[in-house]
Amino acid sequence: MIELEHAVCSHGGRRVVDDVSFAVPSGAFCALVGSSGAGKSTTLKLINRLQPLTGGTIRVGGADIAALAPEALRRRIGYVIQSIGLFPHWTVAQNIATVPRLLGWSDAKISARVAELVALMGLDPVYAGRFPRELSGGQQQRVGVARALAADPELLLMDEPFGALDPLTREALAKELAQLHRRTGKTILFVTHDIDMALELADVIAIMHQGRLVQFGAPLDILERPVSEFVRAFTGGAALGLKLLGVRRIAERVRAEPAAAGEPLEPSASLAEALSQMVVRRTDRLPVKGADGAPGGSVALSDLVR
Amino acid sequence: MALLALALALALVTVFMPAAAPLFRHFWPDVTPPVYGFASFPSLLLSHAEIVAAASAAAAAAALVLGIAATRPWGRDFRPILGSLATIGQTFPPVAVLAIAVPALGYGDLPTFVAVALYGFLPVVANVIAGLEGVPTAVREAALGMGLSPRQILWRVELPLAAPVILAGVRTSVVIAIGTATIGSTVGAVTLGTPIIDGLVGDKLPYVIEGAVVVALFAIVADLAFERLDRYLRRHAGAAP
Repeated sequence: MIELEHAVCSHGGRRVVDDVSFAVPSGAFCALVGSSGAGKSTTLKLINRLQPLTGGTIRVGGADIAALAPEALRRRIGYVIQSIGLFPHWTVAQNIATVPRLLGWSDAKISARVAELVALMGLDPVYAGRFPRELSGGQQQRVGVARALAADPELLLMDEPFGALDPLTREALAKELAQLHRRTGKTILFVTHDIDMALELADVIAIMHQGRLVQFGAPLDILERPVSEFVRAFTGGAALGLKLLGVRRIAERVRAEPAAAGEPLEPSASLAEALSQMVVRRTDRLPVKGADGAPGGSVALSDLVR
Repeated sequence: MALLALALALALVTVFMPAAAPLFRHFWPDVTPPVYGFASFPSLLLSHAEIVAAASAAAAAAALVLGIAATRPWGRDFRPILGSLATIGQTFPPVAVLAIAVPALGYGDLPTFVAVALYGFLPVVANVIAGLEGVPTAVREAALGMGLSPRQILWRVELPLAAPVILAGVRTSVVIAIGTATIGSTVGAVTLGTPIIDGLVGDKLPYVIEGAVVVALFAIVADLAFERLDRYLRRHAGAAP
């Protein structure tokens, strides 16, 4: 879906993005992580041409973006930013309808789509007629995501979308985004400096440092085989073990022996959650639900460190 | 309702000024006639309003075009020059503008129009620039990212969001223009300044008072009308009150 080949972006002689190449397959959730100034936001903006490419090639859906009109390209790509940027003089419904209106959809089609998105984002339909300033930060960003999804783009670019929200709202929106990704199968490129959020949400992670791409791979891969000291420190550091438990599922370690008493865990839950439950329940063994009503198994403390 | 009451007061005072003759005669028995009589107050008000409307419209239109240009990426270099030009227009006394304009343009409405328009330009251009630059960066970035063209961003996002600020500039400009236009009568323009100037020259205080009262009422009514328009705009633009 997105291919970057030797992408370069220079500003005043400084290479903000320096020879970055990677490819995100269709339907993948890719997190672009790195500390501030690593060039991750600029990389994102190269893709919808908000920043000019000074070298290399970028293809979206197989087409070279340099050959497309910037406005036409952007209308095909959903874009969500940290500062949200809802149009304050338009209602929620008008905000969501921005791109469909640019594309000349009929009024009936637009209002049906707006209603669909308001429901999809879990917003009360009364908000459709309200103005952005009447909404909380979390609700505003829900509208921001709905606006980005309005014309059903194949690709969603998200620039620290939950960075300005409080931790609870951020967690809730991250969960909703994961569900949304599973349900719609959109390709998502997500910029964040929060490695935990990247590990939780992404199928693939691109780690950037000083304008360069330093590692690209699956979360587990990056945790287990960091290519450099920087990646090791950035991704795990002292908490590496806990993070590894966070990306592995209980299903990988479940044993057939029936377990002790207690509420069984979901096999799709992470090993970190299993460890947490063991500590809370003061036990070294927990029951695990079986798939589709099959008899369950169990997971023991020793399974976590295998 | 203050607007309606004052507009009614302005109309009544203008039309029925001759009826106030006994009042003026009582205080200034030497002045005959006690009410200015070379032109009727309704015709003076109309002529005054025409000059103000033309000059303010010209100033606002020029300020809008130049202010928009100065905030586009290609016009940024031009911004400081525009600022200085507007400031010069504001610091130059209108009387001096008249003195310079008369030899070039002759007597009458035209030099008055130039002086009033020059004087009214700064408040509008300053507010056009402030209003457009006050559009949040995030909103502009989102608009670009959604695929709006620069022209669409200007018309659908920037101008509607800047409208209340721009309108405030026009309001100031019009109120200044209503006051400034009176001095046009020194060079032969027919305005509400005509009775004032005649009164000053001929030592006839009632004429000065009559002209000044109508001008003041006119300025207040115009100001309140703009306030009403501003409230309407804000309500319908959804901008923060």
